[in-house]
Amino acid sequence: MIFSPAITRLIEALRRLPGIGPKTAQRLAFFVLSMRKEDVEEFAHALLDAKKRVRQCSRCFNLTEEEVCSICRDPRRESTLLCVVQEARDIYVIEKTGQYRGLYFVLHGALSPLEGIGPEELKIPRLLQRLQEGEIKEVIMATNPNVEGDATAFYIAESARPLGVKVMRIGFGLPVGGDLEYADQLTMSRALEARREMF
Amino acid sequence: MSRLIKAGALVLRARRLGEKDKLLTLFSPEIGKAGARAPGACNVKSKLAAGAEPFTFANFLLYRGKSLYTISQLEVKKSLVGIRGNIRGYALGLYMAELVEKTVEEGEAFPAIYRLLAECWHLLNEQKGDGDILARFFELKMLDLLGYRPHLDNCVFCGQAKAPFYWNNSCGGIFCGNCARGRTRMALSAGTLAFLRSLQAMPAGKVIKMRAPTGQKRELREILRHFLGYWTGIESFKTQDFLRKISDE
Repeated sequence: MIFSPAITRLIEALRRLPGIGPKTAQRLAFFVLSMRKEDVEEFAHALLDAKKRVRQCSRCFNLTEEEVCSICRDPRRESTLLCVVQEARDIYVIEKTGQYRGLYFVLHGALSPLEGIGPEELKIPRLLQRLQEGEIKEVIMATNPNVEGDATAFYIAESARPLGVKVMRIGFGLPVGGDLEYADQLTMSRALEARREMF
Repeated sequence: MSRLIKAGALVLRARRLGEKDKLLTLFSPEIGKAGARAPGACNVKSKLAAGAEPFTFANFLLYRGKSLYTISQLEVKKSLVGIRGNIRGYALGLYMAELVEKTVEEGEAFPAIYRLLAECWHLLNEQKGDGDILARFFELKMLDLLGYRPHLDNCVFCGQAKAPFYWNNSCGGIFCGNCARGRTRMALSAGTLAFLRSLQAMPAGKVIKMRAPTGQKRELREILRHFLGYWTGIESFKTQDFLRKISDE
């Protein structure tokens, strides 16, 4: 073995992180070893503390340190509007726009027949239960614009239909700053479908 | 030999690989089943994003690596978006993909299976006919192409053509009452046998006209599930479990 057991263990631990290959894990391990002891302790403490404190909001399943997250607690939020996202990190992307003032619901994944992920493995039953309560009047399906995200959105829309809730899908189209000549057929046809009047 | 190759292919499966890449399972009449990395395909601005999805027919420019291809360019020929809008059709389409993925060896070109899958996906996309019957048709044709065609014309032992008939997976088809003595058997209704024979004989385009009562569809599903399991050695399909989860039955 080239490295000592402690270094090997650190490299193996770092390799479990997404996007970290063996080379990067080695580089990070040696960087950690070159850090001051206090900084390493703070880093380790931050990891443990986040893992210990952070849990899922009991209303929307966003990540929070409270029983109910700050978005669900905010009285200025439009409580009849619900945006459904696949992952908690998607909330951050939507919040950054400053355009949306409703509530959220995190599914924690998408329907995936090939991975054996059905509605029960996600928060779909809890979402339908919440829609049955009657406060939500409109749902925006902001699942990923891919096959799994679309199928999940359609499944929820179909299940919510008898409840009389209006279900919308986020718009699709061309990314800002791109050239039309590079657009694929599907994106282009969806962009044409979602065209809007300019004035 | 050039390491850059061009191939038309169906995307059977797409999985996330690392931060922004996708790992695709392609099925091509030229190179057969193959794994291909689509670098950056999770990025919304990626030129590969729209083609790196199941139910896509595309022309690929692939770079051959040690164990995987890397997609250099792709041109989407057809994206079957109709399948996405129907959760049962979506799951059935992926069941067909899973059946191909599990029964066809890597790198083995199989143009007949490619054509069968393409035809069945097109029919699912059009949402014409009964998706469950289409899935049974697909199973029967796959069994045929893989060399496990069930014998449905007459008794597998004596050739007698008079009903009633019985079924046993290990016998490879139906057998008559005389040959059934001492054998493990399962009764097969005359209606179900006639339905199986019709499906086995017809081209894909005619399947959309086929209808069957729920009970008969269940019988067909169970018979073919056990037969497939017995002859291919595949015990379970994740997509079948998914179909059971979303089923009202």
